[in-house]
Amino acid sequence: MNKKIIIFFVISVGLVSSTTYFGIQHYNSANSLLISTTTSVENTGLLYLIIDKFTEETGIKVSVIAKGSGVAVDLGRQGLVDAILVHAPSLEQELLDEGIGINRTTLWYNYFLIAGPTNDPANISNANNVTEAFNRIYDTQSLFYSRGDNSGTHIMELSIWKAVPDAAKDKWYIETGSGMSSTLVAANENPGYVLSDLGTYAQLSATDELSNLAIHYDEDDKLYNPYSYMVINPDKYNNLHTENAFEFLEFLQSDVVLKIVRGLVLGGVQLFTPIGE
Amino acid sequence: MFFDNLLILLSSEEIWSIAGLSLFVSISAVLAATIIGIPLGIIFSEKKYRNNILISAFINTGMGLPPVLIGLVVFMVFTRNGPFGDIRILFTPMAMIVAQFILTIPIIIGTTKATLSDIPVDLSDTLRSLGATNNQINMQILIESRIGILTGITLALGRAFSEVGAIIIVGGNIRYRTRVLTTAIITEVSKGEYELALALGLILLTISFLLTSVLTSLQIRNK
Repeated sequence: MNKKIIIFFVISVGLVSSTTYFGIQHYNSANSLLISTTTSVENTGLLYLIIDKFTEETGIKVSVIAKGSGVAVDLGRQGLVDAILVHAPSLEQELLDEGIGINRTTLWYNYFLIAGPTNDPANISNANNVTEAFNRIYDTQSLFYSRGDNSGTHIMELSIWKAVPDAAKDKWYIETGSGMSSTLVAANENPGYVLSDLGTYAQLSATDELSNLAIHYDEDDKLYNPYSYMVINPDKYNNLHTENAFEFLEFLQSDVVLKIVRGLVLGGVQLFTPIGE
Repeated sequence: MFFDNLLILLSSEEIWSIAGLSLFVSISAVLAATIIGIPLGIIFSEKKYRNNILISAFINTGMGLPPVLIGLVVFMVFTRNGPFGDIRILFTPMAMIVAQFILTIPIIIGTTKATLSDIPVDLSDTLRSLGATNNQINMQILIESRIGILTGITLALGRAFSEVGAIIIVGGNIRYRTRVLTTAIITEVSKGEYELALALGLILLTISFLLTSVLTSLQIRNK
């Protein structure tokens, strides 16, 4: 019996110490980079295509935490990541003002779109501008699904509602409090309107999950959706992998990456357009 | 369609590293919880604590702690501005083990305490009258209660292995680093890949079943 206990302890101690080693090595490795980003960038697979090439060329291992832009920016604010890649200009600006974010570089863009029931009950497809489209949704009290999670998309949505006079949110306004895909799936179940980024919409459409929805309004200048990369200021936090973060920034602007970005097409739609094209 | 997905999954290297990390994190956490939990369970089953309502209530509440809450607290403790911010384990398997350790230790303490409380009090007296030392008495009590304790370990492992709320917060669901079976399911659902998610679920259940079978066979053989 005692022998068994000794063996048990030896194995346990071995496991625990190897874990500690595993955990600490992750952070001490000079060859790593941790970035937080939005789910739309992760789910479309774009980032992994880029990272694989980057790791191949430089040997730097990149880890990605994918959350809504609100959380992604906040992880940067707390110095928990080396860099961020998000689409929430107002939050990015806050981080720049606080001196925590540096070298913001806008890399790609696409447009937000408004999807809704295939028969378009609020008739937004011929609206003159996005405010009018939202106004019509409000006037007809058509179901509208909001993410309600402080993500880049949610912030964009709120800024449009602000322009709609007396848009009192009532039973027709549904806050899912979850990510873009869950919100789109909810909007598809009991069809309603929803503001979405192009990437996630195309992704879900391709797997046939959005059969009750159609795109009714897009490519409005107001729905411009730029994705920017920002390095976390090493003067604010120590132990960041800032050099790697800058090396990745350089790589993001290289021709190799531009080619990858242009090549990412889903269901005939190019998901991201390099800035300036 | 579903089986195609399952086959693709089973032939990919990534799924095995994900499943391996799942096992590694849960087993390490439960192992640590067992090492520390059993002695605590023994202490709390002593006569002076056995019927203490406050202690029992604390342990019982602990057994049902919401994983997301544990995740949140562990996150706040280890974030840079938190009390242990200098120990940089956030978004590593280590943080996930810490969270699951907190999640499972009340189960080990609780079942150990309950099992030991059921052992007749005069067992230790009898042993002592036969000239046993304290260590020998404790060892004999543990041997007598091994089946109950194994039940606790099985429960704890099941809870840790199937849990998602805590590890997604402290681990960050990072691909190749901290993505485990449960968080991989969440990622696939968020991509609309329901069949792939279901296939992952089947793998999770299968491993869980095998793990439980091993522990159960230990229990039965020891009866």
